[in-house]
Amino acid sequence: MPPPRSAQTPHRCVAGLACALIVALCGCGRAGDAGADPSAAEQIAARLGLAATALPAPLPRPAFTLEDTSGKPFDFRTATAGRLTLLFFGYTSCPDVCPGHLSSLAAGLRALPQAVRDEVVVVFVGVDAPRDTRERVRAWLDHFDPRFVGLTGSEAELAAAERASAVPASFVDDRWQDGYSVAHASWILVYTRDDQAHLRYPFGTSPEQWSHDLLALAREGWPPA
Amino acid sequence: MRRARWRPGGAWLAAGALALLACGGDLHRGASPRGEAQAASGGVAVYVPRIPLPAGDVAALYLVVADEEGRGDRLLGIRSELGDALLHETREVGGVARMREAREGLAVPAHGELRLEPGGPHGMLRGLGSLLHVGDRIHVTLEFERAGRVALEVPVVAAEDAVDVAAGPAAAHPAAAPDAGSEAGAGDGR
Repeated sequence: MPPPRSAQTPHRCVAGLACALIVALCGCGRAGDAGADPSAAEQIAARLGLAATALPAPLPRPAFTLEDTSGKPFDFRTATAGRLTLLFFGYTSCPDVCPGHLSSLAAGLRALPQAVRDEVVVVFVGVDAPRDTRERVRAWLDHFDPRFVGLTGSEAELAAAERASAVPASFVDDRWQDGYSVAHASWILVYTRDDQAHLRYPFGTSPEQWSHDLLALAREGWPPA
Repeated sequence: MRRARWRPGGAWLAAGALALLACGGDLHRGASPRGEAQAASGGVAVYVPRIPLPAGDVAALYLVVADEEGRGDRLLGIRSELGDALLHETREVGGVARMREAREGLAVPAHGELRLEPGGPHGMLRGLGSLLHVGDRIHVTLEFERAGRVALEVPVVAAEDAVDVAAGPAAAHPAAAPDAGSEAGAGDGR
């Protein structure tokens, strides 16, 4: 079962804008280096004690459509509009980062009151088109939280979703005898009720941090009073 | 202890630490798990082995190998009773999580330790199906260049706890190897 995508360098983002954005994201809040004031998002994150990294500039809630695990089209922007939404691109054959992220997040959510949990939408996009079938994504997500939304699509649809969300393009990274790994964005983007992302969460965010931060974001909205 | 209620001071510290880690392009949590050695043989000791309950047909194996006799060693391979396993390394490069097979094994530095942990080097067990449950113990054999084979019984733990163990309180750890002076160095292909 050869993966149709050949190993490629992550330079699919030839649109200068996307590259500039990724470079800016990797700068990760080092605006201070240039003597500039920390961004508004950075100040808010610090004030609320959030474990997130502030984005240098807000990203709009992206418009893309993929298929959910029941086989229906899922228009991300419309379906999640106005809701506190976490978006993660990963793959189900991933042993380390993807389950680590989602199990921490799920444990953090479980510790919150039902009313808060109901405000949070978690969307997982399976970027490994050949292996991330609807059924497999659903069964995998059910181990973390049956309410997590799972999306799948063709390679072209997945690439369009990544571009729309301004995350690095995924690609087949390494191959071994009977398998392969897929490189994917390592962070989880958070869209607040203003339909923008101001924050992203790195791998290693603990359940306690998720609980704290999601409670704060659900209560305060953006920008917090 | 890890379940303690959130304290604002901790929040600041944690946010700062995570930001530093993110900026360093390193997914490691930076702490050193401690406890009784689960196995010791031929100059290496193995601590806190664990398999987070997998959600699919692959699972990670995390543990710490400490060099005990100052000679250093190299972890060459892993076998489990469930099927074959691969040595992998995860690294974060420019916001991308990348995972590659460690075909030449992973070094256990002299006087130091090799940490297989979330977001870093790890074992990948395959062929699991949904066979595992929290509390199961899986027979795993590690193969070292010098120490030979070291047999372990590895518990399956709740997935979120596998990350927590790695993030446990930093304690006095064995003297770091000369090339392991910085936390960021821990993920650099060793």
